[in-house]
Amino acid sequence: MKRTLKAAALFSALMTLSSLAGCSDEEQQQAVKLSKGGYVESVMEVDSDVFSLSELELIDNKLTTFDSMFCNEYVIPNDGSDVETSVNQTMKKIEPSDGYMTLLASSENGYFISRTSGASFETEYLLLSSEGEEKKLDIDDFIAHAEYSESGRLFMVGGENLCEVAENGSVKPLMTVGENVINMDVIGDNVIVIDEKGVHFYDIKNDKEAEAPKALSDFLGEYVNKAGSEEVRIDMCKAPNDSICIACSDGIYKYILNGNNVEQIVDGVSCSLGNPSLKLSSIYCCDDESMVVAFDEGTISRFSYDPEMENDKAVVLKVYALEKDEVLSQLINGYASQNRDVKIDFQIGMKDGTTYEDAMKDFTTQVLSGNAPDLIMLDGMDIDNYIDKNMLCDLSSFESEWNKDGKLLDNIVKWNKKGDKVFNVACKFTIPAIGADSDDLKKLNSLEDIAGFIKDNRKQYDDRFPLMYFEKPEQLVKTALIYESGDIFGSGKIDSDKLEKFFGSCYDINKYNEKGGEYVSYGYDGNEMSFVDRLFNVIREDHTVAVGTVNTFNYDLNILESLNGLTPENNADYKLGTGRNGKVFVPKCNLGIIEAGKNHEEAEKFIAYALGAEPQKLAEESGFSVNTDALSWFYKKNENDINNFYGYDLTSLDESKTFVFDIKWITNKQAKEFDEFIRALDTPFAVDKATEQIIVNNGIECMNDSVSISEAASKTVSQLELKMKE
Amino acid sequence: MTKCKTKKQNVYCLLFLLPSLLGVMIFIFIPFLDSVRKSFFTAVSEKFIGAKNYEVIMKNDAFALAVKNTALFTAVCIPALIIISFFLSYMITKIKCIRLIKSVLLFPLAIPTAAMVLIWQILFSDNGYINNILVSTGHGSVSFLSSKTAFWVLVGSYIWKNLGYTVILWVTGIMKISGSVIEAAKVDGAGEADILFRIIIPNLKPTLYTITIISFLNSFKVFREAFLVAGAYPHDSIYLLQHLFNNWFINMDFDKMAAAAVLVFSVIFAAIVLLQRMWNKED
Repeated sequence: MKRTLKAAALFSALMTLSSLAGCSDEEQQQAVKLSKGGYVESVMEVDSDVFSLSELELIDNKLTTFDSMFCNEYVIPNDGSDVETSVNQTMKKIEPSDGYMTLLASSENGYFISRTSGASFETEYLLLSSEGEEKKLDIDDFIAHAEYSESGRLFMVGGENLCEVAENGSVKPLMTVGENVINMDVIGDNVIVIDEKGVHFYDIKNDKEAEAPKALSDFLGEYVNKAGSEEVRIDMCKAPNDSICIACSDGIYKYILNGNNVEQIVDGVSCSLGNPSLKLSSIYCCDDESMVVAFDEGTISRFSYDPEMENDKAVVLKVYALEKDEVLSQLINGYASQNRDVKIDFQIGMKDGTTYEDAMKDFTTQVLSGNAPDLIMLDGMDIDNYIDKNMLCDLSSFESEWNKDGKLLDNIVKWNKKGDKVFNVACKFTIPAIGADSDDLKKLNSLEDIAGFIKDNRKQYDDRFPLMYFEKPEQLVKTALIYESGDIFGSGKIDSDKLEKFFGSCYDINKYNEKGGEYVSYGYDGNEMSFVDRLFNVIREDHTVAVGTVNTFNYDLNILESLNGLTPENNADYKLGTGRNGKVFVPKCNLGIIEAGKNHEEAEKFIAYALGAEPQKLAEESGFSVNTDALSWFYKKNENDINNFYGYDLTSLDESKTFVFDIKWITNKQAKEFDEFIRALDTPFAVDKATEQIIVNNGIECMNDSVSISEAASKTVSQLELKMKE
Repeated sequence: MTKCKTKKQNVYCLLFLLPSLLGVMIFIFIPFLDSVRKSFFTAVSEKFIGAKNYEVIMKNDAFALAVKNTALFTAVCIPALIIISFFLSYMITKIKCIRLIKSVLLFPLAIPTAAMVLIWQILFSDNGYINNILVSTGHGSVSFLSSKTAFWVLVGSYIWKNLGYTVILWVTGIMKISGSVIEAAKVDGAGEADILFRIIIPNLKPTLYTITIISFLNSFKVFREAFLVAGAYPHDSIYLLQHLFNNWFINMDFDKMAAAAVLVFSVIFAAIVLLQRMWNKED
């Protein structure tokens, strides 16, 4: 008995000690040692006017893709030379004169096409042989996914069924699939369908549904779940040695059929697949095991295997952002592709449903446990709090690196300068704006004016159209905050009277914006509209007002500056800046270096890269550049007529008038005025997420009539004061 | 010989205790000592600043408010819970179907916090059931969760959740009292009140000690409900120490947090030691 007790005591003690001894970092060190060899990406631009690229197919032994809405055909050469562009005459012949057609699938033998009439909006599906013979199909369901097998059989998904289209045009259902099909691919003898329920395999050789391999099914299921409500783009293709290549925003993966694991072969962070402004269209694996990936935007990437590529990345740069940001993602992609020896560990705090508080707790844990990121995007964070805690490095110590020739807009880049010190730099900026008929615009100088304008106009013109476009009350409060934050927080304290007025204005805008009980949808599906989209509604319908931010030349400023060319004339006008002084701007992608980070050198290089002229041309839609060389490059785009768009038309909401205008790149004079304007911007708008959440939540409660305006204001003041007291 | 035997037994005891001792050392003692150390340093840059963090938190209005609320909550809840649960348990011991009641009483403990919070919101939110009833009967609505009443909602929530468990502890204590003692008292002419105050209550002292400690510790857990109902910045009346610690952690005010933790620990430790001494003295 004694022996047993002794043994049990010793065993329990040893077990405890052994688990502690296991906490060595040997395993971690081992993981860093990687072998040589990897895929190198080379990017080819097809065409700037591509609508979306179709599935990559081998046609006449040439890797081909089509612009799915126009009849352009692109052949991707093997030797790295330019993509050959031509017009596919077979398709051109059947293009409707009024309406549009979409290529759904292509093969050597022909094409599967949908054709929609511009008059009746009816869609017909047809098979078009390579000789130009067309056969109309009797299909009532909407078809979004179709593909030919290697043997020429055509499969498609329609009406929650996987179907086969026979040569005679008859449609035979094969198996039931889900309502929301994400992707369908024909790979060898299998048709693989991914839907909200999971992965379905159909064995086309034996004409029966087959069991999906568990590893592949788990991998795809996890990826789809992780994406949540975001649009999921996945494509798969057959690869040598009975394997499948899977492309998605996380990178490229390889799965050997019936194997137990899915292996990542290309990391999305360091290639175009991780670029949020590119939408994956298709992947094709060539015989030499190089892979070609096409994106809707007209970008094609080739991934070639380089056996000598150093995988042993000596340098790790840890980057942290609270939320997903297109500018930062593009900068990381660009930096990673130029610095192959650097492994970028990019973390996004608020992803997969993580709340702000949980994300911040995680971030704090990282910093305090000695695993702080090197570089941080400070958007939405309490920057001054971090500066007070000496958490951020003074970037002015290496300003000669990131502002070599003094080509940056200092008023914007260094908006948060503390004496001689700079702790964060803005990489992009947007400008709040307001638009209305020119006479009305003169009277709209504050949010209160806007609310009064909407209230009066709703009474005067009680038609069914909204008077100011916003998708959700939350968005209204966020946008309104840009206009009034200077007043609410201007004195350094919270002005409760102004906050009450602010909530009162939001309440009135929300209440009188739409006619009672009438909801008018314009097909925006709740997505955030740009300022220009809203201003278009000012053109389409009088007595309306537009608010938002102007982010870019191409989609925003050029359109605004082209409005004076509207035929027939229209009084719509706009002004940039807003706020009491009209000089408000929103600094975006604010980068800082964390003092406790381990790799300051690489973080400094990254900042210098991010503010350089070339990278500043990236992520055009997400904000204006802060580098004057990049800005000049944008200004000079007016020299090329290809950048102009002629004959843009807008129909009034009651369909009584059609306005036509040419969208031309801003002229030198307009560019000069804009340049002078942005150099004078001096009021940054930057509110941390916690403060914003408090204001937005209380604003929503008041707009829902859950609390009165004064209650919402006093609750907000008390919460913000409590926050300040902490 | 006996000495040698005792020594050996001590070694075995120590070996058995080693796993849990190590756990307590690694996960409680060492982190606490580190917190004590950190309370004298800045949060991120780790510069020694002496007692400045203590000075800062003593002047911090949010800390003062949180301490006041937490102390008030404890002072209201624990006596209320002890008294209500005792009288409820005394009455229950008189009923025959005690087993069934015991199971029912444990139900609130089995309800997950998230579900409970949902119930509180349905009942007490500005557009909740209670306000609907108030409005439909011609009364004005009450902002239960955004006014001083939030404190009493939280007190109610705490008592409701812990009442059943505490009653069971009392009932177990009461049942342990020998029936023959009570019978003898009855024979000697003692009335119900005499039995309660002279026999039952004096015999329940150890139970009272356990209940007080458990209730005190459970009172800190009410933060989950408060946080889920009203978020990180609730109404001033339910802003508890845990809200402050939670927000300090998010804002990286680890230095202030460490100093406050040391202070709070010292106060609680002193209170427990004092309580135990008082108890021992009375015994």
